[in-house]
Amino acid sequence: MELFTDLGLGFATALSPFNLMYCFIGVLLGTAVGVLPGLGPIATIAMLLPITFGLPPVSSLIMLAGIYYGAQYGGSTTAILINLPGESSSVVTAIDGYQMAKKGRAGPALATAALGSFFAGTVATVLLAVAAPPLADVALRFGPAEYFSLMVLGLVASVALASGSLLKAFTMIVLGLLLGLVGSDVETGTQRFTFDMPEMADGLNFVALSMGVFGLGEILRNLEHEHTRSVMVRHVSGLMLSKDDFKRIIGPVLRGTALGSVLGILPGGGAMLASFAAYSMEKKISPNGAEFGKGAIEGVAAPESANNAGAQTSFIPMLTLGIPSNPVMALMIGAMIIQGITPGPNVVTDEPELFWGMIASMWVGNLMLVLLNLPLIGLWIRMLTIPYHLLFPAIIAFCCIGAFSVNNSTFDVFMMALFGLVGYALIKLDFEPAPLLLGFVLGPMLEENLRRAMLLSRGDATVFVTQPLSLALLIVSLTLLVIVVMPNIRAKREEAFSE
Amino acid sequence: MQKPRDVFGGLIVMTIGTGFLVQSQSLDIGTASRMGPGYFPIILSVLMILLGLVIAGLALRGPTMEHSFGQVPWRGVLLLIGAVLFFGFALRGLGLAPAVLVVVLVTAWSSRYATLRSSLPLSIGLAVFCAFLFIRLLGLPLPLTGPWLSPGHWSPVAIAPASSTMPPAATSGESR
Repeated sequence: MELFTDLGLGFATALSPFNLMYCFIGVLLGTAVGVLPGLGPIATIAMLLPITFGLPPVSSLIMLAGIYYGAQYGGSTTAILINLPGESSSVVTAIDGYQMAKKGRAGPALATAALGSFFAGTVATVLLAVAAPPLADVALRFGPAEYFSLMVLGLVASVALASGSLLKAFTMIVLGLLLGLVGSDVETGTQRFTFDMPEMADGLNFVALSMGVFGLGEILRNLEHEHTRSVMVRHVSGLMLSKDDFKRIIGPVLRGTALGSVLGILPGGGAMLASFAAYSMEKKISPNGAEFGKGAIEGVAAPESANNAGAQTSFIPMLTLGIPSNPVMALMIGAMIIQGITPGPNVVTDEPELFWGMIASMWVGNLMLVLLNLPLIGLWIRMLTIPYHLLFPAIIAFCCIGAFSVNNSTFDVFMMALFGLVGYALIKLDFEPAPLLLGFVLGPMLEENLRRAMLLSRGDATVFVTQPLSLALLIVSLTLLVIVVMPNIRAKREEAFSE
Repeated sequence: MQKPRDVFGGLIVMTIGTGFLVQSQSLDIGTASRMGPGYFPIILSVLMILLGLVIAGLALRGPTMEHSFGQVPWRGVLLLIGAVLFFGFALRGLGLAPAVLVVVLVTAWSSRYATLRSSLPLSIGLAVFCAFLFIRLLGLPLPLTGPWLSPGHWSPVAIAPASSTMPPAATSGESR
């Protein structure tokens, strides 16, 4: 029954007017971000990080989380109405959702997406509340060797389960790790890669790096092929689902939720993989399989439930182990560190208000999203058509001010410009920069645990394979790698991501 | 893998790795049981160089493709990065509102759809909005308009101290 007292504390925290307001701001911004062209949750959260410094940690994390799952909702709206997924996790929703909209069934499609997401969000929140504390308990007993191997597994899995070239993703992780080491060495205080600049002594500014690579870099990518959007469906009516619709979506929603919850926990999984997997599974087992691609309501229900469940459960490794499973979680960890909280298994016991408050706020936020999005759909449709050329100058202005405001230093603004160039160059060379952020966040932790493990073992590197748990984690990493590299599976993987 | 792009990419990765390796030379390596600040960076740099080698090597065997870099919006790159650098240089001198005005006005022209009719109101609106949000509400320690805009600043005998040249509107927002 401890769960209920804990959840009680969580709801008391989440329902305080102050936190309720930030939850609302978060989901509202998140939806807007999902709807607006060319602006993703990574760039938005990076932009808002500086603003959250003045807030209490709970409120800021509640707001940032709201942006993440709010963006999943907004992304599905654009996918359904204009066939342009606002978010990578809504790519598959566009297939059947847009077909439904073309047949004049945009209303039921949007309602299905919203209700499916809400149901999935509720289940995933419960799962998070039940599974996270025991997991954190286990993690508390980890020694440095286990922690090192766990982080290796996290990084390997995030590469193996993501799209694109494995080699390049690894390169990005290593580059991220190296960039994470810039600054004073924790143990000796030696300056590393700082070029004797005092501004670099505390390390590269996390906000400047992420805004440069993911804000400016993305804008340059978008400027390559600018186009204006046109909305075919101007008025959405008939949001109610018919009895027949309802019957058809129950199964897909349940299966999507289950699949999404599991995939979300895996490092590198998260929302995108979940939606892809749920869609292809549903296509195979649904009795209406032939209708897929022509406006099947199951094709909206399954991926939308899955991506929301995955978005929610990807908080589990972040909150319990301090290991990010995707770039957004890396940003959340960055936000925690800036707030003075050490991410890891201690968060559950040391910061119960933060931990449970965040979990409760996710359910509250999901409820807000349903109440907010369906009636306000007209507003979002109008937002859809805001031209990108009016949007990106504003993003740049916010990035500039944001980079400055972290340390009140113009040095960080220059760093952001540099990382904008770096990010764009990486994109041009076909290096997807997302894993870089994971490496950047994990770099110092990885080094610290490596050093401690080696110190405890007196320099014996076999410690990583003689400790059973560490060995198991490394074997899983290796297996994952072998599986992904195997030719026939590699072909399947590429096929799955190119759909 | 595509030939010219990935060969180039691999070379760049190797260069970055070498750069980190060279910079690590001045750091103490220590021993395996007592790692110095140089130990982990050297491992990573070597890994980086190897990854670059493999990427470039695999790409050499791959098919050659034309136009693999795609188009680069050079005007956008120049205007955008230039505007951010300008913001960094001029923020304290110009103050927040004029700096935002310039940044928005300049970056708007990296789009091919930009017109003066749309970008001018946008930049004025954003300058006002940012000044209100960041100085008034969030208390960022920045002047609304900076010393460069005061008439005395550029004359050889600058007598007026910077703080007294601020317009009255800025005093309420100054949180220092």
